[in-house]
Amino acid sequence: MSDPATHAIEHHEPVTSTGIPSKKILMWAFLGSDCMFFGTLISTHLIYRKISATVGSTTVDIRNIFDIELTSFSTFILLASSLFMALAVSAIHKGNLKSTRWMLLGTIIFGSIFLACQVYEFTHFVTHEGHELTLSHYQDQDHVFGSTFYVLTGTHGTHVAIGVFWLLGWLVYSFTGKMSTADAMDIECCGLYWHFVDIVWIIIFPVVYLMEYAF
Amino acid sequence: MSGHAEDPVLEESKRFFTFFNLSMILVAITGIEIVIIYVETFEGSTIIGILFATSILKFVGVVWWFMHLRWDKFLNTVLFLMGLVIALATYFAVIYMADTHPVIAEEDFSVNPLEGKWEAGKDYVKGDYVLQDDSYFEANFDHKAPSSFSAQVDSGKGLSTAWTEVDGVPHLFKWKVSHGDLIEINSNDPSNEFFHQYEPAEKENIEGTKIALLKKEATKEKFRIRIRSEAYLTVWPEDPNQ
Amino acid sequence: MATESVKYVAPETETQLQNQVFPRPGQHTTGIIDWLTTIDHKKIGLMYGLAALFFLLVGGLEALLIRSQLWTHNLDVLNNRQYNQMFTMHGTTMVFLVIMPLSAAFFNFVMPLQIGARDVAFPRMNTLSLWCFIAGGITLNLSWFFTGGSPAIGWFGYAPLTDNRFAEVMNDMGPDFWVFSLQILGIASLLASFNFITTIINMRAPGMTMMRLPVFTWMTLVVSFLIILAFPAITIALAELMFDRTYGTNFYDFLEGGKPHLWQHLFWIFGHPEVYILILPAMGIVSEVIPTFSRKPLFGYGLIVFSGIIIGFMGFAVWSHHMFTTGMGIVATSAFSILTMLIAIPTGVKIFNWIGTMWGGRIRFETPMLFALGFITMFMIGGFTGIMHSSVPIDAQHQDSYFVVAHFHYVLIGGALFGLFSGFYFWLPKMTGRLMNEKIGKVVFTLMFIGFNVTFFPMHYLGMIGQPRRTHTYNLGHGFEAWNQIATVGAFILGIGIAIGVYQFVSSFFDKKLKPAGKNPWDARTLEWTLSSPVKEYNFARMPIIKSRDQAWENNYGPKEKHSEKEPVDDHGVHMPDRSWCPLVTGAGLLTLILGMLFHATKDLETGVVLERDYMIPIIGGIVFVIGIIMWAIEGPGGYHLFPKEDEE
Repeated sequence: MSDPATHAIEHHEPVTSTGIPSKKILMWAFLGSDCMFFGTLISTHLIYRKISATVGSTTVDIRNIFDIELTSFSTFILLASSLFMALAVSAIHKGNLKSTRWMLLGTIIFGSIFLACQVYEFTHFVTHEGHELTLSHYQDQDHVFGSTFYVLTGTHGTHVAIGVFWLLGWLVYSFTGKMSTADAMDIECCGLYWHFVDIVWIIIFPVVYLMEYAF
Repeated sequence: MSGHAEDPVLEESKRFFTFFNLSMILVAITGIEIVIIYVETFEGSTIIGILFATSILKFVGVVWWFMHLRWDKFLNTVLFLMGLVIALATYFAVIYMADTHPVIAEEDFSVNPLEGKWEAGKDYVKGDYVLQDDSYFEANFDHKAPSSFSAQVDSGKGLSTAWTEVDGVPHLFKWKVSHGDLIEINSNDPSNEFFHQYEPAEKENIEGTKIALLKKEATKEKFRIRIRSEAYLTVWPEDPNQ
Repeated sequence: MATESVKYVAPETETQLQNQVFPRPGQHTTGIIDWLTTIDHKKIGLMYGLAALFFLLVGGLEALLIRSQLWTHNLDVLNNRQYNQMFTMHGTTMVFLVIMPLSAAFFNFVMPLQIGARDVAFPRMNTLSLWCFIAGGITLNLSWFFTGGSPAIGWFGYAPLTDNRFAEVMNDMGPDFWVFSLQILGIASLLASFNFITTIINMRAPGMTMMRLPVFTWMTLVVSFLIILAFPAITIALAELMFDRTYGTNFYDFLEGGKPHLWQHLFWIFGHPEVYILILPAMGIVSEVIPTFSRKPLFGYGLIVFSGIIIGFMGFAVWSHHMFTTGMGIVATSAFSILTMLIAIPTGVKIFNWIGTMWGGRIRFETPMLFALGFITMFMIGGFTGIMHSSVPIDAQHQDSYFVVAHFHYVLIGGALFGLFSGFYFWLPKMTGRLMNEKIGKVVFTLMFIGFNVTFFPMHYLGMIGQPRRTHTYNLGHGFEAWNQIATVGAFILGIGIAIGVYQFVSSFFDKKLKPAGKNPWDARTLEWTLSSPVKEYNFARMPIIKSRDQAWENNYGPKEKHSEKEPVDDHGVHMPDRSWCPLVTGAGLLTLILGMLFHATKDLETGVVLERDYMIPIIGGIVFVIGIIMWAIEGPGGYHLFPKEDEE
């Protein structure tokens, strides 16, 4: 009763007024806030996508540089990583450390592939012969599409990178021998973040990429 | 811990299949989205509608199942929905307000008296106006003009006069508007009334014409054209107070 | 605030200090290290309050310079650029470095006590929020010393004036300082709000249901939600502005396809909820003070809570009333006009309820009550002029005139500042254990009330006869001189009153000649008044079991079944979270990152073209930040135990 080790474990589940762990409430409140964050970026993009500096002229056709095959591939990759994440959370709740490790690793790998695709796509756009899309220009014309596109998808990519980093931390921790079902809530919160990043992409993919082919 | 009591291991094992099936469904839906883009038979707005629907399906799928909201206490859903609802409402409003003013150039609106003189051999429709000897006449029924203006013509029910003189001057209105969903033209001269309102079939690059009988001759300064678009109500000539 | 009465325990339960890169400060830490590493919500609240009071004086000085410049026509106290800098800094300082942190100070100190908690849900995050606020205050005021000086763009930084293209001074860094300081201040507010939401939802004492919460705690909750939902909009708007200025994107550059109008939308989507963030805490404070000094329960508790929630929610639907004159079109302006008029309804409900509370009560006119009454009357006047603005044709006359200046100072000084001062006079005895001098308090109120009205009431008239805002001087012949002089005199009176008040607050922590306050000097109603003054480190020796609203009052005057009980003594003792260096380290990393970003580019002095970008300092800052977070995760909450005596509170 009086030794510090048992104290640490006994104090692990503080009583809460709602029965929901505080970390979970924090994460959901944060995700609600993040909706406003991405909402701002997405609506900025939607407002700007057709505008170019020379008002009245024909708008520049962005489809020349979009590579839908690549972007579709990265969309599937991110969806798959979400599955791995859900399975990782499931595994840690069951106390299956080995499975948790593999699922975490899977999420990290797929998340990293997604990031690699984004990086490839960005460099490809910036250097694409004759159709360069930069932060302020498209094909040497002053344009706003690049600004909104890169900042929106870049912010999303940053969120993914933070998630990958966080997952790596968990993966490393899982090898220290200190991981147990007591950490399940923390990993669940990490999972919530990762899934949110996925659903933001679920919105971005049609709104930014596919829409250019329709309208 | 997150609200599920009895046997966490069994619970989680059941969920494995749910997760797996859900991901397959998400992949399938994404596949459909991509196919729809490649198949070019759909109209722009239909594609957007479908994309909108599929996005919502995928969104709900991930949030309700992967993110456990289905199995957790409702408060979590409330916290998330607060952010989501306010974001959606605010940004729909912002995007809506990004509408631009409808534009009519000076030369795009014209009002002129009709100049068409009566011509022999021409096909006329009931209601057509012609100018003959400095007066205006309206056709009483569909007919093909004979060689003489005042000759009686077969109306289908026997011979009768083809033309009735009208008191007033028919005018041709022409307009070109950048975009809008309701157009109204009216006269601001009480002694020379005119009112025409309609919803154009095409919402962009609207062109319209109308022939109408006015009491007396008028020029376009006597008229006002009002255009309603998504966020604006524009009046030409411009109202300095707006 | 020292834990004199605590029984010490055998060494095994003390914090382990070795084997850590940053040895964790133990429970007996005192002095400056205690203040730098504390996670105690009470100390954090005090630091917020002290820093905010300092910035109040800074912002006040900026205001007095403005008023001096406007003494009479064509003065040269400040030239036009300096004048613009002055009102920009005055506005930004008062909103972000004074009112918001003062509210945060009270949220931090009082709210956990009101719900029966020992600390907030995430104590270290609370500390980080404090250090981010300090970093933001430093960053903003560093701007005075660099190229271009302080920003001269207004507290609302409208595009395209903020674009590099329109800089008055080549390579003007003012707007950059403004952008980055607001970003880190935003982080501070967000972190604090997430904490408060979780605390209020999850850490209430047993029996403390949501409808037994004091109104001040409810307002804390509503304001926290407003913050987490409104700040993202300005975060993105500022980020887009930063990209425009630093990397040449075209978000607000109209020549390249951007829409400056979008900045206004995004800013005000944040800005309007922001003004409710500024006023709701003061409304919460007044809702505590009025019942106490009327010796009556709050009239219509449920309605007041509900109105607060409605105001918060509707606050998101009215932002474009700041943009009535920007040509948004009939549909939009009408919609926002109507919604703005509607939002007056819940506000009015609150005012009627406060009056209803006083009606038939036995009113005492001590200083907290004077300020609360001042709040109600002055806020009402500000509210009336606000309703006038909501009518679009009338707003077209008011826009950019001194009438608007009068309106918002009535709601922000007459409202928020008076409410916060009421809170100081009400709660400082709880914090210090000493009663402040009532006579001096009344002098402060009198000076502030008179000074404030003399300054700002004439501005209604000045606005109506045509004096424009944000204009550094005026010519002879408009008839502005007399009332401007009166306003300037009033401003100095207000300044003196505020200065005396601030001195009184700070000195009450050190003045041993003041009378002791005891547990409940005002015979107040809510839970914090059942504790000793000053409050002990652990807040509650034994967790209370709550049986009713206004628990302190019911304990003193109510029937036995409504008295609170206490949880049984815990052999473990009271678990206290450990102090930590990590928030300070993390905050220092963020500050370094921001300063690094501010100075990373070497620009040509003549043309402003970027010659070289060196990211070394931001990267170092980022690494320190990440290290701080990793250490934070590894060290865990830690903890030690205290053993208060049986009957101690």
